[in-house]
Amino acid sequence: MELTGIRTMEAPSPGRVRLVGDVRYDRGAPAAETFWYEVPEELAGGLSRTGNPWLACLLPIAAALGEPLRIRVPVDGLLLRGASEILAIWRAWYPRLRAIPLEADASAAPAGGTRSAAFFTGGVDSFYTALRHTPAPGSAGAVDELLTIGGLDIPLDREQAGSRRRERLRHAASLMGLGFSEIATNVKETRLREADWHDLSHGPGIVSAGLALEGRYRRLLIGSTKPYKSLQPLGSHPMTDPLLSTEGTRVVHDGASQGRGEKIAFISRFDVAMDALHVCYRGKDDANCGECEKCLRTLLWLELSGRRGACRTFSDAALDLRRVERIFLVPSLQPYYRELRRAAAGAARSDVVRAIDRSARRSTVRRQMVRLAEKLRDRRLLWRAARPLRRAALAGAVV
Amino acid sequence: MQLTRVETRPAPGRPGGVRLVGEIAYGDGRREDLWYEVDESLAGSLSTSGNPWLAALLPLAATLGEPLSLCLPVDSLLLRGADEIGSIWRGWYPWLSAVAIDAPAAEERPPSTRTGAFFSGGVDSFHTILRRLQEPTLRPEELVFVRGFDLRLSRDAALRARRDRIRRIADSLGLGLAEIATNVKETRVAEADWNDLSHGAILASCGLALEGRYGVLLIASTFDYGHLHPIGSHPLTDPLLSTSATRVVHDGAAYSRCLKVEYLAGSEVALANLHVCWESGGDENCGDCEKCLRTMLMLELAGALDRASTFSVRRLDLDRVARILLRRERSYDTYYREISRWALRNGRLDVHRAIETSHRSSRIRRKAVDLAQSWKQKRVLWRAARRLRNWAVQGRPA
Repeated sequence: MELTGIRTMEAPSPGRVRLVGDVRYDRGAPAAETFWYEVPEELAGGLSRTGNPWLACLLPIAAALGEPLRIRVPVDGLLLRGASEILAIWRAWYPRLRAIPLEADASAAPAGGTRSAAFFTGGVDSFYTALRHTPAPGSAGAVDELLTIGGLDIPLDREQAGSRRRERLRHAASLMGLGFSEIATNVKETRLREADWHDLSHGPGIVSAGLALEGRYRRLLIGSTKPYKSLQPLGSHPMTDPLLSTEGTRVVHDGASQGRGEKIAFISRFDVAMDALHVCYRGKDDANCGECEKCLRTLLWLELSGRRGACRTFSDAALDLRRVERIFLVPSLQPYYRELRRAAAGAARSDVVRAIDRSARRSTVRRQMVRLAEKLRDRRLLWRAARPLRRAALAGAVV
Repeated sequence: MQLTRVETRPAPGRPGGVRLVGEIAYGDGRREDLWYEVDESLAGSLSTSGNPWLAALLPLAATLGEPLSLCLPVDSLLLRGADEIGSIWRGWYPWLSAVAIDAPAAEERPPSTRTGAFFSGGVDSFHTILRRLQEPTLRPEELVFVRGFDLRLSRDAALRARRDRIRRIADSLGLGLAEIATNVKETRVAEADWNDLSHGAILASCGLALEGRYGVLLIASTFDYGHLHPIGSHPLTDPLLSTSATRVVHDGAAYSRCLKVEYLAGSEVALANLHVCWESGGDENCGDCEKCLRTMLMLELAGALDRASTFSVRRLDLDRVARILLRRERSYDTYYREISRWALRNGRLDVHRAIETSHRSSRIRRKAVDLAQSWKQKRVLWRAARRLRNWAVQGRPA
């Protein structure tokens, strides 16, 4: 695949500017796509003129498709080395990925700016990073602003939800004494979908939006997903994210010293977080459904911190532990629930411990049934049984 | 623990040598000097900041659970990195303590220009320099040889032989050589576990002692990305020892040990000078210990063992390989599985069989060692414990 060229142009919405990249694929459909990043006019001066954001964004697609990646715009030498290191890490994590050559001219002049920003979604990880880096005394060093990306967790066509969330985050940033910037992108509507968002691409996808404004930033903070004590292969990881740094813009994976429980306990002390916390991607909306696994997990932590009632972005309905019992614990969720269970046991919440234990027991059976269904799927006579078996395994499960 | 004073002095007993000496005061009242020594031609590059001292003392502070206070300013990037390293270590080793670091913030200084590669003459560091010399970026300009790590400072003759060999290697590759000696392993800093915790940080501290000289310091990787586990030099932690002016790069983790040896098999300089052995105590490889045998297996499969002139024996004793005791199951996964598969691919069933025999027998013997350990404290069984242990380990390379 190849980035054939980039350009800056007026966006369809008034007062906005787009950085556009044309991408051609070697195989598959569509054979060519246009990727874009869009910012308000006042940020246009910081838009990238190099291949850096494009290298970050296209890397997971090339790895997933197994296509060589050619970037026809100069890139930063440090990023090019980092990208090839990331490919090696991904191949070690996911042996199904093939080695792919990277072809780019590493002669781009350093392009970083002077400001620092933390990516901000309003979720637990990004609130933790933002609150740790406010101008308040005792913080870990303030960032200049929070940067939110439109088009990632709320699709671009849900304009009202996107706009409501943007305003809520802008308000939260001002309450924290931080600046606020936003950038929108269509990357999730491209063949980036073919690269697993969770396992491979969400770190590079997010960082690419920051690098699209590389003329503005010298430091970009990305809130960690997993703590150091339970790291596992993931699209955003303390080993891969910093490798997306350029000579001018340093990418920092922030907050991995803390587990999810510690982060929620920290942010739940701040009204600004309790008024704007948004963790739910199921509804592709700006509200928390309160019913999906991620909402329930967050509610459980808030309950254990004694701050569930204070969080105004969840409805007042009591936490339904019977629903918790039906959570399907896939392997990547198990460390979260082990941590939750420990905290619940420490807080003498035997009802929560029981609910998690039941969920774990049921999940073991469900996982065995799912595995069996997957085996049957490829057998000649038995493949018809696979689908109902899988349905039965996941019946009533909260995912 | 506190870095109370730092000064530069002439090195005692070494004309033309200069020492950067730091006085360390511990929480229990004890004091000692930690030093780095270089030739006077390098003295202008010696650090005037707290950076090398923070890197050197961090593992010990985490081990002892003491706060760390430094009398010299520390680079803000390193300060943040040290804090992050502490978190990573506590994630790996929950018994370690969080270290409160108290140091004034240093002003950023302009980046230095040279690229130095730490060099011991082993597989990892040879692979890093030879590969980097063929690549357009991060080409090392000089080798950094640290005296006082695997050979004690008192072993003058062996150290001289090693240094002369490394100088010849540098000359033949057209590279410079910077030599730095340190007493770090003769101080309390050695109380921090060298393998699990401190060797990356201390290596970086030696480079940072010459921070005026280096823009990039290459530390050769120990394990590849597919076999990472907690260890003192790691791609997560090493880069966090960077300062604003000196970048520490953990290099080569994209390559497995077998791939590295296969690469070295194409270099006469590497084959004539490779040094992997910690048992011989000298400049040669004993050819008898587990590490030598493992390297010889890979050289044999790469078709280069007969040219590897630093091994005192150049014929592989497969009976001895079959008797290797793998102390942990992980040793097979990390080192031998890949060699065994390589042997199969090359049609070397004899090598494959020897490795698998060692693997099988190690499982039984490890159980025997564990059993002997549990008997050791029992009144009647302690004699049997000793015999059992002897049976399990005696005469086996490990």
